[in-house]
Amino acid sequence: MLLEELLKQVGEGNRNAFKELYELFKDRVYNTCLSHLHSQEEAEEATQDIFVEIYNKANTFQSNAAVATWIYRIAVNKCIDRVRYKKRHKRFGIISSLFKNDSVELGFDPPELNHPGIVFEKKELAVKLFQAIAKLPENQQSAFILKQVEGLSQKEIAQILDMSEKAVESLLQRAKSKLRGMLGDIYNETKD
Amino acid sequence: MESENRHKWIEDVLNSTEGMSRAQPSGKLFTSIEQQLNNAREVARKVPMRTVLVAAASVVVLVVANVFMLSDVQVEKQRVPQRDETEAIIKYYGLNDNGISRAI
Repeated sequence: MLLEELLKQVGEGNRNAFKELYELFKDRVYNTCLSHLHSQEEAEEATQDIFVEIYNKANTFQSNAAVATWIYRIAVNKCIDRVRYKKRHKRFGIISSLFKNDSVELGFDPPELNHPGIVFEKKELAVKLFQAIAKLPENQQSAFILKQVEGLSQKEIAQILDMSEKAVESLLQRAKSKLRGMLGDIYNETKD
Repeated sequence: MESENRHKWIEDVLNSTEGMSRAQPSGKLFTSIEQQLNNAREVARKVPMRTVLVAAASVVVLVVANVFMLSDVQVEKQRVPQRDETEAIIKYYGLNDNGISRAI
């Protein structure tokens, strides 16, 4: 069955079609969330929210976009919202800690991600990579994850992030150059 | 040599996602999603239309009452003192018609 037809049935409230759509996209959505959020628990919560939104908004889907692009767009937006919320929460925590003597020390580093899908011998290196990715600006972060982790083409990324292919290309170049800089610093720190 | 090592390490890190497979969410996730969808439907079903209409009507009544009250206050503020109020003031301060106090 065509994805558009499947999504149409989901929009009509067909739970079997929804289950089928879930099975087709659950890993892609979950991995995108995991790469953005660095926590399996949070990635599952976000995946749940994303599929609830997909179910509720399925009847608003317009066929000028691919179903996969539409789903990825919902996923990326939800993940960015969650990351923003976490950052706001952390900032508020830091401000309120200034007024408390017994406050705990708050770290600025994002949590380490030990991605379960990474090949064993590359696990240690991938931890460093995800740590650096988390420090990139939002749009560079999403573009890099969609390219490097999800293996999407620049055209698909452009449709998901609603920008031109050229813009995505320069976004990815800037992301790589920033990552090289950050990783260089990490290398120097480990050598010192 | 050191710079070569550094460059190689950076490239290795950047390419560390090569050959990775996708992680899978827990098998119970779909059940949780279905539960969330059912709960949302339950909540929508539990609030009857009549209750929603009564609440909306109450809000309208409250707003209308407040608008009337506020317009009454405005009218009161703009009102010129009436004759009996002027007389009461003259009497209270012991003023004659020319405005000179009799006590003086």
